[in-house]
Amino acid sequence: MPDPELPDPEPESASEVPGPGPNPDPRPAPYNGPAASPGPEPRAPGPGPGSATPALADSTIAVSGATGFLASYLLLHLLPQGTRVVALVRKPPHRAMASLALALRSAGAPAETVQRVAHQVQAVQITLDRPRLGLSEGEFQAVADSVDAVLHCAALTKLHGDAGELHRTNVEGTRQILALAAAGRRAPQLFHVSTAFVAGARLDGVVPERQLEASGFLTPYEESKHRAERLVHDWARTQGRCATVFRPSVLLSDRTALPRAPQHTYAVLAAKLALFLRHGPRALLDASSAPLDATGRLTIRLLGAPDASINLLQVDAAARAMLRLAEQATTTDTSDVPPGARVHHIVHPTETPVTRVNEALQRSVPWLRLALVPERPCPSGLERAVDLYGAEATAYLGLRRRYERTSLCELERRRLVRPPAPVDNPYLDAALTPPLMAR
Amino acid sequence: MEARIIAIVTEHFGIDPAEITPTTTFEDLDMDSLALAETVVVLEDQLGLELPEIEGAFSPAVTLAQAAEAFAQLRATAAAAS
Repeated sequence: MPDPELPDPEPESASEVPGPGPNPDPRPAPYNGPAASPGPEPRAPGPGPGSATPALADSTIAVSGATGFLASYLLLHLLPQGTRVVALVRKPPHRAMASLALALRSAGAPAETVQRVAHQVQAVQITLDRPRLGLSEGEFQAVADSVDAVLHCAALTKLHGDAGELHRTNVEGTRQILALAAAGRRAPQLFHVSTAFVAGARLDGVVPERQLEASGFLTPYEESKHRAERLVHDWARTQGRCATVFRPSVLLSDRTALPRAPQHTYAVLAAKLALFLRHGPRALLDASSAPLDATGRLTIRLLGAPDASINLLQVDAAARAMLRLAEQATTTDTSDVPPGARVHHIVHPTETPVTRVNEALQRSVPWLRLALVPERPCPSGLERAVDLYGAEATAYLGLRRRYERTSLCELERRRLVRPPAPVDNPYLDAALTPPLMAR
Repeated sequence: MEARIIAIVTEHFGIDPAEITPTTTFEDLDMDSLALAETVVVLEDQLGLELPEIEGAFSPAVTLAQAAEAFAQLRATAAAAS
C-alpha cells in the first residue's frame, strides 16, 4: 500500500515480507448471514508466534464504529485497494450503509470509492456492549469466522459523559470485540483504537509507547479508555495473540463536514462555541462579568497553564499511518515476537500551543478574547458556563506532555509514510470554522 | 411552523422529504443535538427572533411535530416579552 506520492521506500526487511499464511483460503467469503451449521471448526494457528495473515488488500475486516469520523478516513483508503468490510453498526443495515456513504463523501472520497460500499461492505447491526454483540450464537460465529482482522474504532467520546455509559460502551464494548477476535477460526488480527489521552493526569514529560499504569485521570472518558486498553493487553497475553493498539491524539480535518456526516471534536467545539456566542457580547454579559474593553472585546478567562499544549494531527495523516502499521502487523512473521499488544502513538511530531488554538477561535469571533490563566479568582457566570459548555476542550488546558513516537518516526525514516504537515494557522482556521458558517 | 422545520431539514440538511412524517424524530434523521441546534439558529434567522435556552428545550428524540409545537410556544413567549 505504498503512497504513490512518496519516493521509493526502502525495501521491507525479510521479516516483513508476507509469508505463506496459515489461512487455507486467502480470499475468504464475505459474511452472508448466520451459518446454517455454526458448529466448531478447527482453528488455524493465529497471528501469534509463527504465523502471518493476508495483507489488508486481500482481507475481510470487521470494523466497529464504521460510520464514524476516523473510520471513514480509514475506509477511504481501504476500499479502493479491494478490502472487504463487515461494518459493525448500531443502525439497521440500510441506514448504516447510507451513513457510511455520506461519511465517505464528507471525507472527500471520489464517486468510485463511494460506489464500492455496495459491493465491498456488509453492515451487521450490533449492540456493542451486549454479550456476543447482541447477535445470536450462529450470527456471532459466522461474523467471527468471516474476517481476517478486527478494527475496533467504536467508542463513546463524551469526555465528561456518564461514567456508567462510558464503561458500557468503551469497556464492555471492547470486551465483546475481543470475544469476537478470539472466536474467529482465522484468528483475526486485532487493531484497537485507543487514545493518547489514556495518559490521564500525566501533565508533563514524555508518554511512552507501552501499557500505562493508571495514575489518575482528568475525565471519565480517559479512564474508560484506559480500562479498555488494559483489557486488550490482558487479552493478548492470555490468548497468546499479537494485537495492535493505536493511540491517536486529537484528530482534525480542514474539510467542512457535509450535513449529518461525522465531525471531528474541534469542529463540534467550534460549532458549539459559535452557537453559544451567536447573540454577541452584550447578550452574554451578566452582573459578574468584566465589562467589554475599549475595543468592544469580551474577555473570557480559561483556567489553564499559559504554556499548555495539545497534540493535534490531521486525520488523513493518522489514517495513512495506522494503515501502514496495520499492514506491517498483518504481514510480519511473528515467529520471534512474543505475544502481546504493541502500542503506537498516532500523534503529530509537534505539539500545538493552546494559545494558537485560542487565537484561531478569536479570528472567527473577533470580539472574543480568550485568556489562559493559572488562577481565576471570582469566575463570572459566563466563564463558568463556558467551562461547562466547552468541557471537551477546557479539560485539556493544563497539558505540557509529549508522546513517544518511535513507530511513526521509523515509518517516516523509511519513507513509508510522509511526516504530517505543520498544523499551521490556515489549517486551524479551516478546521475550526463552524459548519453552519461554512455552509 | 412544522412546514418551516421540514423545509429547513430538507434544504439545509439534505434530507429526502419522503423520509419525513410528523412522527419522525430528529434521531430518525441522524440529526444529533448539534444539528438540532443549527436548525434552531436557522429558525431564529428566519423568524427574526432570539430563542433562549435552546440546549435544554429540545432533544434529538422529539418528533418534528413536537418540535414545531415547542418552537411555536417559544416564539409566542419571545414575542410577548419584546
